[in-house]
Amino acid sequence: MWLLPALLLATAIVLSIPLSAYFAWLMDGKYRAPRFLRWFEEQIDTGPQDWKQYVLAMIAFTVALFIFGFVILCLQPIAPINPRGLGALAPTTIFNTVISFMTNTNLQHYAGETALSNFSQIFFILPNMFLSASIGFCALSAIIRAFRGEATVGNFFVDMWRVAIYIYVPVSLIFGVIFMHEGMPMTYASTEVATTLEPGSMGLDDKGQAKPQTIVVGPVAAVIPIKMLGTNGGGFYGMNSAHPLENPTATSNFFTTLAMMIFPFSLVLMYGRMLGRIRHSVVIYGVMLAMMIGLIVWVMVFDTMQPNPGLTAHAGATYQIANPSAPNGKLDVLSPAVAGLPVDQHLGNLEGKELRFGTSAGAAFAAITTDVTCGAINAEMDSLNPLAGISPMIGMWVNCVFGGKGVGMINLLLFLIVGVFLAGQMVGRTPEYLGRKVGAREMKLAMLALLVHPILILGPAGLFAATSWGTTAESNPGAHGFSQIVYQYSSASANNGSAMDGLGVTYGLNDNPNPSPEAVPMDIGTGLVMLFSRYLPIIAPIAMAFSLGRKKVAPVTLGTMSDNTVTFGFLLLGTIAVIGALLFLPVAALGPLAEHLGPIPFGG
Amino acid sequence: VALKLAGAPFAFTRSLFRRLPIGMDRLRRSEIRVRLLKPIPCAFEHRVFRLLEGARLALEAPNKERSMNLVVWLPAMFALGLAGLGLCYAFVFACEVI
Repeated sequence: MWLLPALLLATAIVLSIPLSAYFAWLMDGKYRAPRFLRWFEEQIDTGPQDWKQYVLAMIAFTVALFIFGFVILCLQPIAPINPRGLGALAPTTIFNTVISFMTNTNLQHYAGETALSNFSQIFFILPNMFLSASIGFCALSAIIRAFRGEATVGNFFVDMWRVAIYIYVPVSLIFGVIFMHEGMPMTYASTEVATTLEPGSMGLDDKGQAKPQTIVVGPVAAVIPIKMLGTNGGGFYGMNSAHPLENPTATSNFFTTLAMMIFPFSLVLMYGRMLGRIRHSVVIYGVMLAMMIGLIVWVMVFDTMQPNPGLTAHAGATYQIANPSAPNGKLDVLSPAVAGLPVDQHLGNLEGKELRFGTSAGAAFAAITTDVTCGAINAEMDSLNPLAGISPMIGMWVNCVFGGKGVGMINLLLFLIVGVFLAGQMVGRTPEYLGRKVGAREMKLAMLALLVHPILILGPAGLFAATSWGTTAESNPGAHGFSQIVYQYSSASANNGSAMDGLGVTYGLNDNPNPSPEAVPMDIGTGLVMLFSRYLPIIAPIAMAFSLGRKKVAPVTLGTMSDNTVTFGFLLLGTIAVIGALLFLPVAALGPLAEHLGPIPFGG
Repeated sequence: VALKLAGAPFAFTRSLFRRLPIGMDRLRRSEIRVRLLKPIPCAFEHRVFRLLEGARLALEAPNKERSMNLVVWLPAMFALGLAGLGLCYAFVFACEVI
C-alpha cells in the first residue's frame, strides 16, 4: 500500500536533481540550439523586457490564445476531422473551456469523448496544453531574474519558446512512447467498432440485430504526456485517468503520476540554482515535501485504511439542528439505523476506485494531483471518505505544495515574504529577503497576490451555496453538497481542474436535451474565477520581485536571519499552516468536518 | 477572382485535412501507400455553400427550445472573456502605482 507513493516520491526527487540543472542551464541561455531552431528563436526575440513589458507581453499572448481557442471551438461543427458530426458546444461551455485550457486549469464542463471532435482535441486542446503550461514556468524565471537585481527580466516570447520546445516537447515524446507501449491509442481515427462478447449488450437495431459497441479513440498518446507533464489535467475522456484507454495499466499509472510530479519538483531546485542559493531552495523543497508527505499519509489513512461509512452498519441517532420555527429553536433530526451491507471493507473505501492500479493508487493520486495542481484524476473525488476529502482541498487551498509549474513556487514566495515580515516584526528588525529589505510596497503586492486566491474561492462558493445556482446543482444535500461547491471553486481558483463530479455543471453540446440545471452560471462563475486567479497572482509577484530586486543588498550581520536553516523551514511551514487555517478552517468545518461528524450519509 | 484568391488557403487547408486523417489511419493500419487520394472535385461555389450551410445548421440547433441562442450568447461570452483579460491588463498598471 505504501510502496507506490514511496516509490513515486523517491523517483521524482531523484529525477528533479538533473532536470533542475538542465532547466537552469536552459533558462540562463547557456545552451546552444541547432541552427534552424536558433533561427526561430531569433525571429521571436523582441529584445530584453522590464517587468511591465514582460507581463504585458504575457497578457497579449493570452488574448491571442483566447481568440484562437474561441474560434477553433466555434468552428467545430464545420471543421474537418469530425466524422461523428459533433455540433457546437454551448456558448458558456466554450467560454469556460477556452479559459480553462488557457489558464492551465483544464476544468472540464463537458465529456471529451462526446463533445469534442479530434479537430478540437488536436488544434485547441493540444497547443493550449503546451503553451499555458509554459506561462507559469516563464513567470518564475522572470521573478528569479528580478531577484538577481537585473534591470530586465528576459524576453517572454523567447522564454516561452525555450520552455515549450526544449523542455516540454522532448520529454512529452519520451512519455508518449512509454504510454503507447502500454496500450494507449494513437490514431486519427475517431471510432473503433467492436463486437461485444455478450450479444445484444449494446441493444438491438431496427432490424433486431445486436448492435456493436462503438469505442471513441483518437490521438490519446499525444495528449496525455503533456496533460500530465504540464500539470494540465484535462482528460481526452471524461473519466480522465480512470479510463482504460487513457491509463491502461498499473505501469502507465505509475508514469502518469510521476509525470505530473517531476517538473514542479525540479522548479524549486531550479530557483536555487539560478539564484546561486541552492541550500535555500533545498529548505523550501523540504517544506514542500513535508507538506506533500503529510497530505498523502492523511488521505491514505482516512480512505485506504478506513471503511466507507455509508456502507458500514451503524445505529440510529438523533441530531439537533438550529431552526427558528422549532419550539426551542432546535429541531430534532433522526438519522436512521443502517444495516451492514455484505461488502468486504478490509481494503478500505473502494467506492470509485480503479483496482487495477492497486488499492492505494486512487487516494495517493488524489493528494498528488491537487498538490501539484494537475487536476487529472484516476478515482472519484466525490467518493472519498469525508475526512480524506480534506487532503485534496488543503492542497488546493494553500496552493504551494510544489504547486503548478512555476506558480506553486511563486505562491510559496508570497508565504515566505509574509513569514519573513512577521519574523522581522517579532524581533524588531526590518524584514529582509535575499539580503534586501522588504518594504511596504513589496508587502502590499505580496498580500494582494495572496488574498486573491481565498477571495476567489470563498466569495463565489458562498454565493453559490446561498442561492439556487449552487443548491440545485449539488447532487447531495447537507455538508457534502456544500463540499462539492467549495471544491469546485477551490479547483477553479487553484487552476487545478479536478472536480467532485456529483455537482451538475455540464452543458456540453449546445443541442444537449438535458443540460444540468445550473450549468450556465457555473460555466461563467468558474470561468471568471479561473481567469483572475491565474493572472493576478502572477502579475503582482513579478512586480514585487522587480521592486525588491532593485534594492541594495544589505551587509550580513549577526542579526541577519539565515534563510537556509531548518529553523527557517519551520518558520515557513508555520506561516503556511497559520494563514491557511485562518482562511479556510471555517469552510472545512462546514464541509468535510461536518460531514464526518454529522449523520450518515451527507452530514445531514 | 478576388473571392477565389481569398478562398484558396481555405480550400487548400480543407483538402489537406481531408487527406490527413485517411493517410494517418492507413499508416496506423500498416497500409502505407505513396499514392495520394485524388482531390475530391468540388466547385468553389459549392464549398462556400457548404460552409454557409454548416454555419446555419450550427446556429439552428435541433433542440431549439433548449439550446442557447448562439447569435446572442457567443458574442456575449467572447466580450466577457476579453473584458476579463482587460481587467488583468489594468491590474498591471495598478501594481505599478502601488
